Amino acid sequence: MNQWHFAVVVGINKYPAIRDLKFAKGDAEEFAKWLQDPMGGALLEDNIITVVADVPDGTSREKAIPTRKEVVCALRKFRDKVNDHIKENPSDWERTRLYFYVSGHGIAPEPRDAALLMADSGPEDYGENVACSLLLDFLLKNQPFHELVIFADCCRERVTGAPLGGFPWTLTERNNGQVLKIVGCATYFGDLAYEPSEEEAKKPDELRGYFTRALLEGLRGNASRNNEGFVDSNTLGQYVVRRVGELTKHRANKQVPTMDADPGNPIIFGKAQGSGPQGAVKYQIRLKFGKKYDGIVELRGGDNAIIAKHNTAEGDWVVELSNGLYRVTPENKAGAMDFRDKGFFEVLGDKIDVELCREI
Amino acid sequence: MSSSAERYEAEVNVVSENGPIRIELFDHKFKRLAIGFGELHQRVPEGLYILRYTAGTAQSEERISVDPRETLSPITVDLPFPSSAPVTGSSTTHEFHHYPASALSHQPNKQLGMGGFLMIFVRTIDSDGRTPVALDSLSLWDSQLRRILNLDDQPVQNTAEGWAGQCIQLSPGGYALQWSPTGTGSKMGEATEVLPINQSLWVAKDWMTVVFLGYNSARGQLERQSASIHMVRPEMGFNDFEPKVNQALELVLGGLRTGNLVVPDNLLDLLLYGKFQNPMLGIVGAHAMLQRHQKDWPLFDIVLDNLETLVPGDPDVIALRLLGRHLRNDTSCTGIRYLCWPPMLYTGYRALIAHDWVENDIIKDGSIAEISAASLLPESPWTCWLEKKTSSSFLQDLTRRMIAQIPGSRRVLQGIINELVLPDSFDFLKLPDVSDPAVQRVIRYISDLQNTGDAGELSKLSLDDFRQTGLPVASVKKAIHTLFSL
Repeated sequence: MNQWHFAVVVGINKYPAIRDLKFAKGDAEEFAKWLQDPMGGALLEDNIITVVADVPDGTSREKAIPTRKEVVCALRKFRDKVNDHIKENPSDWERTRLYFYVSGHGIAPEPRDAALLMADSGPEDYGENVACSLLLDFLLKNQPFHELVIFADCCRERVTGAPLGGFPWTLTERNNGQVLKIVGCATYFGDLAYEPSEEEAKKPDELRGYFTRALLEGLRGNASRNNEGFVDSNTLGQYVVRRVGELTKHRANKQVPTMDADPGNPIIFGKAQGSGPQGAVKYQIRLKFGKKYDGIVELRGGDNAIIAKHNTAEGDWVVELSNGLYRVTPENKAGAMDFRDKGFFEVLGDKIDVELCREI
Repeated sequence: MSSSAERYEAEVNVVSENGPIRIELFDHKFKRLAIGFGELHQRVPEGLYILRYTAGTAQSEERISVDPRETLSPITVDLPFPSSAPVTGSSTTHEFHHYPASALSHQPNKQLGMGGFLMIFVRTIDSDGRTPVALDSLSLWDSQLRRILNLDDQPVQNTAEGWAGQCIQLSPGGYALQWSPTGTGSKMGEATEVLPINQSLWVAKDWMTVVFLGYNSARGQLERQSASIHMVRPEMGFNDFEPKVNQALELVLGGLRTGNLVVPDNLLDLLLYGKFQNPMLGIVGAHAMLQRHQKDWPLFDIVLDNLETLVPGDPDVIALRLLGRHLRNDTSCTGIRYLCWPPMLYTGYRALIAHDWVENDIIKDGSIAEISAASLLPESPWTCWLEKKTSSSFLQDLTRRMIAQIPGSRRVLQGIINELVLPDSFDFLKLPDVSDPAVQRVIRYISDLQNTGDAGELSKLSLDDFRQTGLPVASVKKAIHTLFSL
């Protein structure tokens, strides 16, 4: 277990003065579950503070919880614990990590921010927020933790005039070494993050904000890429950005997450379950040709080598493929201009139907 | 030893038609292999690849195959990006906007002073660009915040072509473009109180500041954050003779707006080369240099020296000088004193406020640069601040109660007051009201510290800790006196 990894996880469904959300609290609890999983974040139970609340309907804004206070105090508790330990054991600093995950309504008064609105926020009180950018600024200067993992599954709506919720701690600048970070936001600056509708989600596991769903899929193995099967901040970032785009492509505005990590200094999240050279997760892919194409086609993998062949006269072609870019071409012919998207298609964390019929 | 069946390789060549847009190459597992700006040349083995193009908020992708059976032709990318300025390569450019903008910049239609010029050009940027624009929400205010012009007062315009503007001869100095509220509402479903917003503009001697604003006809809104500001010689006016240079400025402003400011060498060269025709290029380019991990300080100093010669006294250039010193941990005295007007760029204004805590009296007490800090909107790239709210008795009572409920707060305030060195000019009769945004920010900081800080932190509070409020020193001193006098 990772003794010097800590996590503050916040999820808020009930906003008396705005409107309620359906999945934010559940998303936070699921993320906390991954943190505690020995095959996941492998954190000690005492090192995770989950800030969620069940407040009855009709609760007033003033009495709604959780508030900034709970979040700031939770962060301070771990900051102090690590600072005290590192004072005596400086060599342990490189083993420290903070996870800060938030899910709920959010605003972004400035481009690099994602500020979680607390339950007691309202149109006149958007200042009741926790600003991820200010937390990051503080932690980068104060350096209690070697690694910072910040995920915000919330909207980043521009709200004019809302003050950013900062951290009223005395800032002592330290130089323990290089701080590594990944900051993931569910959506681009100024945009909204979505939850699926109940009808849209077919399985209970899909009743999750798109960003958190992709994040957990990635952390649980889908974002592993190299032969060792490790998920790191780079592979996770690439997976989440593409996967959320895929999950939200049917919406009027596709959700575009941002995952800011340093490619040269990745944070390792652990070995992915069911991954590695022999164990990459595969998905059922149905390739549909319609009636407009008759003949033998070749399925090509990322290195352009032929994986398999199929006679389209036999109907749809069902194959099992792992994540990646593929292409279908007519047999022995260069190019596939007759197929939709030139025969290219992507597999990314889910089974899909691919319509390849020729464009007229 | 070489393999008998060496893998086929080919070079992927991509060139942009719209300036130095970002070009990325990914392999079939979505791993990024290469990045370029404006062009990309990368040798890769046979396989399937993804090319991604990004310019501001515009993005597109295409998939390619490196295959011995196919000739991989050079790829020319045409990714128009949105821009309020009518520059070549933007998705919102129309000739029927570009020529009038250029013509207006050569023929000012109003004179309210001498020595400098300001052109504000508003154009429709969505649909076919021909929806009439409305200027009634805009007005121009001088450095004392006195209204000097309503923008809808006899503008030069063409309603059929979707544009309107004013080109005004003015005295050099600071001006505020005031945006009156045109609506309420937030996508989260609740209306919010909307106050007028002031945007900082600077008119330099012998230069014309050109402000382009986009009008989104679908939303019925002028878009403040997507504003583009250029500076040109009045005799040259605004033109697009060097589209790559204008594109470079728009791309960097797009990066500042979205918090994604990565400026490659070729883009930076364009900015720095173009600064003699348009100092905004140099100002934005210098900010871009400071965002880099490896900072070229000699080049930065040369750029600033040139800018100081081109536009002496420009607040954005002064802010850059201070920001550069701050990043180099240079705390020696600059001799800069009593700045009255905030820089046009938000990042510069933040730097100015931060340096006010390092060196005394950088910001003049009672000036717009001091007062507007408390109402500064945390939005990029431009400096904008909210008009002051009118005082409410409810807020005053609330503040009194808050301060009364914080144990030891009066003792803390007294301790800080004892530490304050007040200038002779300090006027106790001009203390701000408790509803003043600066006072509210200070009380919020104390209250936050009480609620969430360490038990002992409140008692150890000193004046210096209040730099975290983001206010200039003078604003904090006055706020503390106001709170103590309650």
